Amino acid sequence: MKCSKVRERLFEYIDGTLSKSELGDIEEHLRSCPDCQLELAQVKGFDARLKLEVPAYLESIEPSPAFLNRLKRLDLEPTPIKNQSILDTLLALFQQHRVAWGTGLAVCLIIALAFAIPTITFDDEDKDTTIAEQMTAEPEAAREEMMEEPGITGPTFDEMGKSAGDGGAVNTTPLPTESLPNYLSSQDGTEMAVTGIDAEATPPPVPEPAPTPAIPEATDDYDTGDTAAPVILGTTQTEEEAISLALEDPDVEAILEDNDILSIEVRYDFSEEEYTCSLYTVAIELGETDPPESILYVCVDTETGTAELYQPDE
Amino acid sequence: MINNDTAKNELRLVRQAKAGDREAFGQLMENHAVRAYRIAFSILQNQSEAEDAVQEAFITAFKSIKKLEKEASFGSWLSRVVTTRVYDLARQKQRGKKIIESETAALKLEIARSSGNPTNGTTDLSLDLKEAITKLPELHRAAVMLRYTEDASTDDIAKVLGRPAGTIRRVLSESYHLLRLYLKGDDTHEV
Repeated sequence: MKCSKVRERLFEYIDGTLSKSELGDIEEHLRSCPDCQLELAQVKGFDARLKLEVPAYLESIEPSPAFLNRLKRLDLEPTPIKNQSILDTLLALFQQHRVAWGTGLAVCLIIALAFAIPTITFDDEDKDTTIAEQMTAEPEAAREEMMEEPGITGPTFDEMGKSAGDGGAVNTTPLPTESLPNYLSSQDGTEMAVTGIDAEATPPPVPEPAPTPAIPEATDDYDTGDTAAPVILGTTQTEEEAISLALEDPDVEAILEDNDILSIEVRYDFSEEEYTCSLYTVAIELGETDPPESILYVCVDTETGTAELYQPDE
Repeated sequence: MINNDTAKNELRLVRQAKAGDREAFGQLMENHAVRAYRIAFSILQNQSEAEDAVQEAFITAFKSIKKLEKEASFGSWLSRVVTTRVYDLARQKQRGKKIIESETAALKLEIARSSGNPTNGTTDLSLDLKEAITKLPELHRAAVMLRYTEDASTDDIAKVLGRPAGTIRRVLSESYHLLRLYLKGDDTHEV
């Protein structure tokens, strides 16, 4: 048993809550390790003092009388806020401000009609048909009439169609297949998840196409070669758990004893060359290695609390 | 300490509260409000957040008191409900900052390891302990408070905080190193 593991269990050793086999392992180690014996003595002394001092600290905290009074009036079963649909909300607002909304709506209609009239009035006055009917029945004729009519100020048929296409629901612009915030380009060009994805989460949402590059040029933000403090990223509870489990792995701990961490990133369902992990991958970038900046990949199962180390450079 | 009559009275109130008696639960709240607030504040280190957490925890406790099996351990159970709620809030706050406890913990442990021989246990803690606890990351504070004020075992702490026992072992070990480091007088490293 390694010293670091023994030392993590000293509190349980002191409390007497270790299993028989664990106790045997610890005692065997203690018999042959003077450093851990010394550590045990120090932990015991410090632990005993904290048992006295921490409760004293707790007793020194006093709530305000106003808060204690408020608690007496605490509603133990508060009415949950009803989830309203957007329509419900709008209707409620309309009920509250019926007159103002009505007036506003009327003004909007007048403005809309004012803009629409030029496109409607191009038709011959003696023809009692609408634009839609004309387009459906005689599109070419209608179009010619529109083009020839000098009073027309609205868009042409083609322009209208184009305009409708631009603003319509169907968009034929190809979408990127990966979620932008979750991926970055690493130094070797491979995509690296920066914030990770929650295990239970649905696939990452497809982002809106934007004029910016599909892969943001953020590599430098995480190129921490010159940074003294490690950069550790994790946004969800599961990701944090994955990092904790990876850092607790004995093999990882052994490597980290002789290495600095430059950065830690969490990826989900990640593979690279021979490494594949369908769960969480905690990628630990090391500082003092040969070759420099090696990455440890730790595949973590947060459900079972197990972690498995893989080193691509081995 | 709770004397016999107080214990009997509390047991009666707990049973009434389990049957849905709000007044009985209100009395229990009143009896335990100060301790609940102390626990919340010791972890959150913020008055308004601690007050909110206690109120939410009491509402949760009222909803779940029917499931309480060890009626005589109501105080301990309530403290753990409060701690769970408080730690949830702390995590939400931490997630908003996109900083995780591992970061500060790993850094501090490194500091502790690299700082040579820690104190020999003879430091007078009484003056500095409050400040030292305040400097711990929230998970560490929660684990320390549970261990030293609720007499909770590693497994109990793991259950209350919803973390694996291995994580709690590491957290307690780190807390030990960090507290010793802080109490040694090295205040140059902020959490």
